[in-house]
Amino acid sequence: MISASSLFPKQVDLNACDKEEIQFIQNIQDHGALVIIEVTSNRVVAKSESIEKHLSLKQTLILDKPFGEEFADLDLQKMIDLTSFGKPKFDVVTIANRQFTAIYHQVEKHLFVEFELANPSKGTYNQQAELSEIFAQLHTVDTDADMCNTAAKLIKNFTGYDRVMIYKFDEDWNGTVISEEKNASMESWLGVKYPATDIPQQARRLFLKQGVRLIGNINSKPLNIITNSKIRFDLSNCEFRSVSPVHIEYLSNMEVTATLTAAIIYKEQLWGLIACHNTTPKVVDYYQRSSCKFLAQVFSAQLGLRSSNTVLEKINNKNRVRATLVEQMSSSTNIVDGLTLKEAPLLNLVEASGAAVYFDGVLKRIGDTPPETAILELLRNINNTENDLFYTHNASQYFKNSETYKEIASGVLCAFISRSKADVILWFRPEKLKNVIWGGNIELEAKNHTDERISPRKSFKKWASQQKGCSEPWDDADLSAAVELKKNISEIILKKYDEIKKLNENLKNAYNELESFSYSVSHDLRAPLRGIDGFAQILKEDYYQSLDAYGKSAINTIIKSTNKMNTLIDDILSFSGLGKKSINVSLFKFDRLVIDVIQFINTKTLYPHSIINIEPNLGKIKGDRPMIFQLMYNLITNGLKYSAECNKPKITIGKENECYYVRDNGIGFNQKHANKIFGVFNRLVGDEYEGSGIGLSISKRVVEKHQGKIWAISEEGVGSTFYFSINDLLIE
Amino acid sequence: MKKPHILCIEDNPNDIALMERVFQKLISDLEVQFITNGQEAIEFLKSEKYKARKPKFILLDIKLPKANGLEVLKAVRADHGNSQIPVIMLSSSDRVDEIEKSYKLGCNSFIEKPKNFIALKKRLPLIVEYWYHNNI
Repeated sequence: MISASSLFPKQVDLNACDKEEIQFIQNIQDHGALVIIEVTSNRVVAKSESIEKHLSLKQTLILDKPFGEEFADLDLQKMIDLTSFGKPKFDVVTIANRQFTAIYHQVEKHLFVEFELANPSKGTYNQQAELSEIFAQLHTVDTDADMCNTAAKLIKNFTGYDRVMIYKFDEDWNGTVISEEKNASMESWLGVKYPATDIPQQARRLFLKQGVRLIGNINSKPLNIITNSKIRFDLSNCEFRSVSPVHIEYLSNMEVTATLTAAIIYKEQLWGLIACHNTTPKVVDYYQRSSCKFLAQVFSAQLGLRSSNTVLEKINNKNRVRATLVEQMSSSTNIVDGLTLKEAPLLNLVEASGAAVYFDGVLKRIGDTPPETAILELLRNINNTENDLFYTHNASQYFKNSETYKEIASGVLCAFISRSKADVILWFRPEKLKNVIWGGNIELEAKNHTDERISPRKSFKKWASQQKGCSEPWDDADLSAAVELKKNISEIILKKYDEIKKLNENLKNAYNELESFSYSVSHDLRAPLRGIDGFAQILKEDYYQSLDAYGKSAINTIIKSTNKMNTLIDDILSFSGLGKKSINVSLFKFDRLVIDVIQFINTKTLYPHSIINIEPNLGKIKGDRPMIFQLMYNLITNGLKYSAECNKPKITIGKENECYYVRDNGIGFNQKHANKIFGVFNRLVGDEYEGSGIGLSISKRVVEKHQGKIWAISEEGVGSTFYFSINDLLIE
Repeated sequence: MKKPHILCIEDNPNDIALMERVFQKLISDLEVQFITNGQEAIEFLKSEKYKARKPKFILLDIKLPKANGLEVLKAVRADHGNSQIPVIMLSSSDRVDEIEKSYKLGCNSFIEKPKNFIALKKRLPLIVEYWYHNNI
C-alpha cells in the first residue's frame, strides 16, 4: 500500500530542527541534580554543577572516586541490578535531613542518578487516590471528545498548570488542540492547528521513549555537567535534561515559562500529547509526573478499546455490504454488472460518493465521478505503482489535472483486480473544505525560514486557512474492505472462468456432434434419393408412352423434386463442412475469380438477358480461394435469380471503401429483414424461386471464417446490394 | 467364351438395380457380378472360383455391411495375385479422411457416386471404358 505522505516530499523544508542533537545537550535544568557513575568501577564520572549546594552536601563530591559515603541511603549495587534491564527506577532518600526522590537509570554502563526535592505534602497515598480517580473517570466517558475533556480537567486539577491541552497529530504530524482546560483569563487555543515543524521528529522520538517531560523554567540557567571524561553522555532518559535553545525560544515566543508534556501512544505511535503550560516557573514532583504518565497510558488504552469497537462495528457493516456485492456478482453473468447492479453497495463499501469499474477495457461509472477521459488518465498515472492498492485523500498532490474535478474526486481509492493492472475498481470522495486555524501563519514562516540558524517561529497569532483539495481520508476499514473485495472478485472470476470453460467444451462437443449428424444424415438421404430418381427415370424411359398426361407430369414432378432435394443436400453438406474447414490463404486477382464464377454458372445459357458488369477496380484479395469462389457463386447466382424476371436485369460486382459488393436490380426485399436472410433456411420468397435457403448462410460462414462482415441493403422493387469485407490482416 | 466381367461390391439394392440396368442397356458386352456384403466379398476373393476367372476390375462401395469397403480393399491388396487389379472406390461420401485412407490402402480411383440416374448413365460407361481399356 502507498499513502500520500510517504510518496511526495514536502515542498518546504522546515525540518531543520530535526538535525539538532537534543539528547546530547550536556547540561540539566536547575531544579535537579545529577550524578553519573561508571557501573564497572563504581566511580563517579560526572556530576551536575553545584550539586553540593543542591543536596546540602558538607563536602565536595570528588570525581573519579568511588560513589558511596555521601549517599548512605542509596544501595549502589541494588540500583545497578534493578536498572540493568533499561527501565528507570526511583527511591526516596534522605540526604542531609532532607527528603529527595532519586530517579535512576542505566545507559551504556553508566548509572545516571537524578535527585529532586520530594514534596512532603504529596506522597504515595495521595498518588494512589489520583490514580484511581483517573481510572474511574476515563473509564466512564461516552465519547472520545468527553475522554479528552475529562483528561484535560483531571490533569489541570492534579497539577494546577495554567493551561492543559490535548493535542492530536494528523498523518503529516501537524497537531490540533482538540481539548483544553485553562485559566479563565487566557485566550483559547482550542481547535488551533500547529504545523509538524513545531514538534520536530527528534522531539517526537524522545516523547515516545520517555513518556513524560518537564520543563520547570525556561529562564533559569542550565547546570553544566562536570566531568573529566571525554564521553558525551546521552541524557535522553534524564528527567531533568536541559531544554534545547530552539525550544526555549519557541516557548518564550508563546509566552510560556514552564511545561509538562505527556505522550499519548497508540499502536506504538505518537497519537498526541497532553501539554501543560504555565506562564510562571513551575515544577511538579515525580509522583505527579507519574500520575500524568499513568493518565496518558489509561487514555491510550481507552483509545484502543474505543476505536477497536468502532472499527469492529465498521468492519461488520462493510462485511455485510461486501456479502451483498459477492451475491450480486455470483448471480450475474458478468462481474461488472454484478458490482454495479445497484449503486449503494459498491459506494457504501468504502463510503465513497462515486465509483468506476474498468474491466476488459470498458469503463463503467456510478455515482459522482470525473469524466471518462480523466479517469483513464488517472489510471495511466497510477499504473506504475507496484501495489495492489493505491489511495490518497489529496489527489491534486499526485495528478496535475485532478484540480479540475477535485469537487468530485479529491479522494481516490484504487484496487487493482488483475495482476496486469488492466482491471481496476476506483472509488471517489468529494473535496471536503475545512477551515483550519493555525497557530501562526505557516506560509509566512516557511518564507522567512531562509537563514542557516535554526530558530523557531515567532508568531502564534491565530491564522485561518482553508484546507482545499482534500477529502475525508480513507481509513483502515476502507482499505481492508477494498482488499477483501478484490480477493472476492478474483475468486469469482476464477470460478466463472471454470464454468465458462466447461460450457465451452460442452458447446464444442454438441456443435461437433451436430455437424457430423447433419453430415451423415445428408449422405444417408442420398441413397434413397438415387433410388427414387433412378426408377422414375426408368419409368420415363420405358413406360412414358403408355401413361396419360397426368401420369407423365407425375413422373416429371418426381424427377424435379429429387433434383431439388439433391441441391438441398449439397447445400447442407457444404454448410456443415465449412464449420470444420480451416482456411488456406492465398493472394489472387479478384476479377479473375469473378470471371471464373460467371463461367461456372454458365450465365450465357441460363440467364441470357442478364447483363453482368464487373467494375475495374477489384484488385487483389487475400483469402481462401475455393471459399471465396463459393461466396461469390452464391451472391452472383442470388442476384441473377432474383433479377431474372425484371426488365433489363443487371448485376454489378464492384468494390467500395475496401468492401466488395454484388448489386442487382431485382425484386429486392424489405430492409427490416436484412439480418434474417443470413440465417439457415430463412427465405423471404416463395417456391417460385429455387433455392435451399442456405446459400446466404454459407456466404456468411465464409466471410466469418475470414473474420469479416457481410450485410445487405435493399429496397423492394428496386434491387439489393450485398456487401462484404474480409480482414486480410488478421487471417495472415 | 464367356464375356469379360467386372466385380461390383455394393449393398444397396436400388443402386444395384440401377447399375444393372445401365450395364444391360449401355455396356452389354461386359458381365457384372454383384456381391452385397464385405465379408462375403473377402471370402470370394480367396475362392478358387475367383482365381479361375478374375474380373477386369472391381467397383467397391465404402459403406458395406459386415466388413466395410476399406477392409475389403485391404484384403484385395493383401493377396499377391491381386496386386495389379484395379479397384475403384464408389462412395456417396466425400470425406477427406476416407479418400486418403482408400488411396493409402491402394485403390486406383475414388469416385463419388453419381447423384442421379442421368449422371449414372453418363458416368458409369466412362468409368468402365477407362478401366477396362487401361487394363488390357
